[in-house]
Amino acid sequence: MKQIVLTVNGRKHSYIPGESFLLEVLRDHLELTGSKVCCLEGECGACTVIMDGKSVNSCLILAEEADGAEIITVEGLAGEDLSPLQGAFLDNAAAQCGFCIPGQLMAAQALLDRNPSPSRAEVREALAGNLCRCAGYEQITDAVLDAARGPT
Amino acid sequence: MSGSRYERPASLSEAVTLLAGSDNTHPLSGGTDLAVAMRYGRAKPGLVVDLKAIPELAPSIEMADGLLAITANTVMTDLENDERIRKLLPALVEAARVVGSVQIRNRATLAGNLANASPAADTPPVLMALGATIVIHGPSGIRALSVDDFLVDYRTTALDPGELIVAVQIPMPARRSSSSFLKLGVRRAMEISVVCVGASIELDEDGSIVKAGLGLGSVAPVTLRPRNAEKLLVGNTASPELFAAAGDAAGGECSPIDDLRASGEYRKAMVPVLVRRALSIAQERSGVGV
Repeated sequence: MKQIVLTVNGRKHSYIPGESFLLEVLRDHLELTGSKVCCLEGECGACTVIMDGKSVNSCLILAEEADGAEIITVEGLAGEDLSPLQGAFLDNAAAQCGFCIPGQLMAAQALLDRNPSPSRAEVREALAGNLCRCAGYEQITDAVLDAARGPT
Repeated sequence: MSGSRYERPASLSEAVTLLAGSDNTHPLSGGTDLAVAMRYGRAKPGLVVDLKAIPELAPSIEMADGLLAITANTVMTDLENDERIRKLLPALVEAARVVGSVQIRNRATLAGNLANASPAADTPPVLMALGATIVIHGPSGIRALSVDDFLVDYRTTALDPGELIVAVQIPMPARRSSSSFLKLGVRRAMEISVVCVGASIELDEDGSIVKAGLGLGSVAPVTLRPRNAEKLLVGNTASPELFAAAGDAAGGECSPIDDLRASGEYRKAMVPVLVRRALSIAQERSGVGV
């Protein structure tokens, strides 16, 4: 395989991938295990990252396609403190087992980046590609809306 | 990917050369179908040709010469967000916005939805109903096919080795015409349809149907064009009874299978319902004789 250069959470990485897909590049090479291995066919959203500003399923992206891309994973949301969105997830008890949460956070972040004041319906639509087996959908939706409202 | 080489050419001619240059090549844009097939070994291309660096194919929706031209790398999200498509081709927006999820729609291309040729695909029925043309480049040059001619059989297109879709062209709708898309499914997102219908209708000022186009998904091995239903419509005055008759005719032209989503019997029963509703919505949108 050819060398790829990709920027992940602000840091540039350049290497020859042994992995076939972006998800495994992130998890196995870069050891960013926040993005999850779940359905591996673009149906569940547990592998969601933000690539060049758009939410995508990283399990569907060949490693070589990520050459030149800017990627944000769940590990990139927090600065010194958790991000407001992450705080809202905690405040609203959005995480139960937690497995879907990185994907939900990334889908939500991508939504808020393009639509800072979504309606409840818009949140549900934007996160429709993120399944939660614990059925935490109401709390997750509340959390995203809470984050959108900002500190009161 | 082990076993598959990858190239990302910077020009269309280079892409055609690569695609035609060896036996087992495959174009790649959104990858939402191909990536899954590759991961699970259903597709094993010797060479994957990533089209995303080709300027001529960069996402764009242009109106010129009475046509709306959508380039090969245009994704579903681009279509959803385009004001002109929302106004002029509402059915295409309605179909694009129910493909998969946001994550899928940010990558999935209109061209890829056609090239994958699933009989359940959402956009081909609309493109069929709208009389779209698929522009193809290959080693022998440029050619154009109707959707009907492009979709040959179950997951089989008319593309020859080395060929790729470069654009989809849709005739600008006439004044008293409009379109609609309906998708019947088990849930409200992330689903493959039980039945889906694309309808397009053009009327004259008296409410007589000048042109009618229909496309049906998930009711045959390939997106189906119910020609008997269309023949019933053209030349007659739009009415609920006429739409019901067309719906019944369309139902008669289908051969749906039983699968995990629905029985063939149920699908056959739903086709007339969706067809008459879709025609009715398209007529309402056209503003004639309602």
